[in-house]
Amino acid sequence: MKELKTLLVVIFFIAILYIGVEPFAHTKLHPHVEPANYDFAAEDISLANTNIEKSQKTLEAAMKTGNEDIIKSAKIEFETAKSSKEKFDSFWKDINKIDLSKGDATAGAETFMMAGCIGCHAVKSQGMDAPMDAMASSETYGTNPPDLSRAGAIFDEKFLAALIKDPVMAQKLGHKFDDENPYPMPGFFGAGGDIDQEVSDIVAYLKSIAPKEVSGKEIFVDACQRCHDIKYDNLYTDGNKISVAEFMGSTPPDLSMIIRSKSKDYLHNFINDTQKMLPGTAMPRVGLNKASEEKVIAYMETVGDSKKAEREKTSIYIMIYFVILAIFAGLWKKKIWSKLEE
Amino acid sequence: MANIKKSTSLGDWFDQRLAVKKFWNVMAAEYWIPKNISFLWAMGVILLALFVILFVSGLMLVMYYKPDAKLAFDSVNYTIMQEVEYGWLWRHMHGIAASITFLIIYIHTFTGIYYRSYKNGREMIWVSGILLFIIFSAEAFSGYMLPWGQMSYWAAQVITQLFGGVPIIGDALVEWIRGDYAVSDPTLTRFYMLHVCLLPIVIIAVIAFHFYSLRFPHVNNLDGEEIDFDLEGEKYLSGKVKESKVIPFWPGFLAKDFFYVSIFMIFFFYLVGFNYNFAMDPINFEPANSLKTPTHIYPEWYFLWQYEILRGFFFDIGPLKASDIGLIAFSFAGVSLGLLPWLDRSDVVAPAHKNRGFFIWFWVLLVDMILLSIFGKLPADGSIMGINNTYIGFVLSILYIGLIVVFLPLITILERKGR
Repeated sequence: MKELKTLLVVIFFIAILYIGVEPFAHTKLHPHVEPANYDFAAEDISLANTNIEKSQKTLEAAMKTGNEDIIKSAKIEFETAKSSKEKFDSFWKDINKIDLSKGDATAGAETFMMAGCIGCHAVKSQGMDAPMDAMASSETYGTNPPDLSRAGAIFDEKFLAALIKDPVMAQKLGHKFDDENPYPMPGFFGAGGDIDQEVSDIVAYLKSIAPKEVSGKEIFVDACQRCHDIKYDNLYTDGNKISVAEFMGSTPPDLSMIIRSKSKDYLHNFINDTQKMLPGTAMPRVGLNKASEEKVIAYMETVGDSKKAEREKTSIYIMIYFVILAIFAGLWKKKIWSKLEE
Repeated sequence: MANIKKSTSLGDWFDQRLAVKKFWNVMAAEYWIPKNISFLWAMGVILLALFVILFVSGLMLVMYYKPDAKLAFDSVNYTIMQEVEYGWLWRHMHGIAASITFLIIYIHTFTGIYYRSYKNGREMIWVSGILLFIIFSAEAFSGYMLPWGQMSYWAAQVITQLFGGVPIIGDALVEWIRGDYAVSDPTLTRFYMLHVCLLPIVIIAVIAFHFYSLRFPHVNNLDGEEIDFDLEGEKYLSGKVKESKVIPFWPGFLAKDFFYVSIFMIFFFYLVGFNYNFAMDPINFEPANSLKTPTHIYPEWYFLWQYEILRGFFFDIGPLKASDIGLIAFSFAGVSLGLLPWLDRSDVVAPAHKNRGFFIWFWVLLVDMILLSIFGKLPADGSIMGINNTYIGFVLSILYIGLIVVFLPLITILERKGR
């Protein structure tokens, strides 16, 4: 049939156009990255390796231009990438030495009190309130230190151990904080005994007090709301927004519609390793474990795309309606044209 | 005063006052369409269906939309998308219909080019069609601003800035269009006015003119055959229906179109429910932020080929700056297709495959426009197979202009001389 051939030609060119301006262009606009890895040690070392490769290529390209300024800055980038890799190597080697299976929750409770955690953090489920309210503490520290009641359930245990020892390295904020501009939370220097055992005990304690079931919204409250609004669900930054903006360098965006503006893949990769998707960002890697990350993204979907189920169901119904209409229209056309054509 | 008699029926009552029968015959029952057509002839009716969808869904959206820089984003993304019952449906339909309208306009236009339906008495149909394309572009652009997302804001910034290229009055013109030094609340409000008031009125008027201009030269057919519509019409009316080369608009032509429209709607609602990101760019779900330039700014897909021509010129020639040359080329591209009836120097009306030169020209033009669209979206600093995107864009742009102003006249002059 001649019309079918014409139709196929039309569809062919539309398909080329579509593939070109959608999937193909997107691979160029958003270059591929390794998928999110919840073994943060492996994730950080893999990113550091990727960055070395990238900066090496930049350096090679710079060499070809012969421009001294470009070569110089490319060299600095390359050296930074190499030293960053060394830092992460030795940091995670230290953390991997900690045997988290041997943590003792009872001892951990004691160490937790001795280490001074509750000088800033609340653990409301255990009857421990924070010394300051959210406003005052965000004005003091930049952001309000989180309540740790649920920390053992939502954060990865190795990440928690890493965070306790060196919060700047664990959250990948080395580009923002150093000795001159210290991060508000100091690393844990030990309570006198074997520091690795003590860290392991604290993690065990946090896990022992954590509830078994945590909702996506609760995860959002603990992990995101200290900086971000999600105003379509009436949650606003926990603390003084101006202090947060000053601390972060800019106002962290409202996340109500983030599920429509970023793909789920992007959100996973970004939350998993912020520096991979947005090098230099002030947002810390928060260390959510895989299950929690999935829950918090599902929560953001219920806020930003609340009609998804209705949309998919309704669209199917309307499509079925038009299939039926097309059958009748086709029959009618046949009837009319049987009189017109020989 | 007409001689009004006591009416025999309700239909007769109206007929005596409004000449309903005569009107119906002129508009439908005796408006002759060639029999020898394909589904490509249904694009006009599909476009009309899409325009009705745009109009009705637009009315629904206007009821809740707030044209205010502080409220616009939330009125769209919260009130309409989440609070109003089926508000998301109207918005998705509106967004998809806007985008798909351009797809169908392009198919409609390329059908016209392929069958060379733009000349020998059909010039006004063609010119009014291209005019519709241009006004629809303005309508789409002004509508894209209304959700006040990042792409709305930055596209408005880039496009209004283009008018700065106009000699002498450029800067003043930009300010006049924006209503402010930068894109801001007054810009949003005036584009709202354009989108929901002035441009729709103009569009409806030009659509009416487009139909009217079609009434006398009649629609072309698959073979470009010149049909005596009066003669064939009489044949039809005298009962030689199967012999006649024409069919009436109603029911013959519309019976076909209803079928095509129904099938098209299945595809349309698949896009509404499941594949809408091409028409509603994810970046626009981020609220407008004048302090944060998005990493990539690009127009909607249907503007990409013109956008690539705009940025295809990267070197200055004498006093002309690269951006000025781009702007001139861009403006030319916008109206270029409207010149086809005069750049085609032959009076042959026949499908492209009847003339090898024209046939090749047609497919090269189509492929060039598709490639321009694809490169229009790619980052300008990238490269494909080792060739810088900027150079590829330049070559494609020159090719487009060459095809229109050099190759088309050349091929058609050869055709005329060869006969």
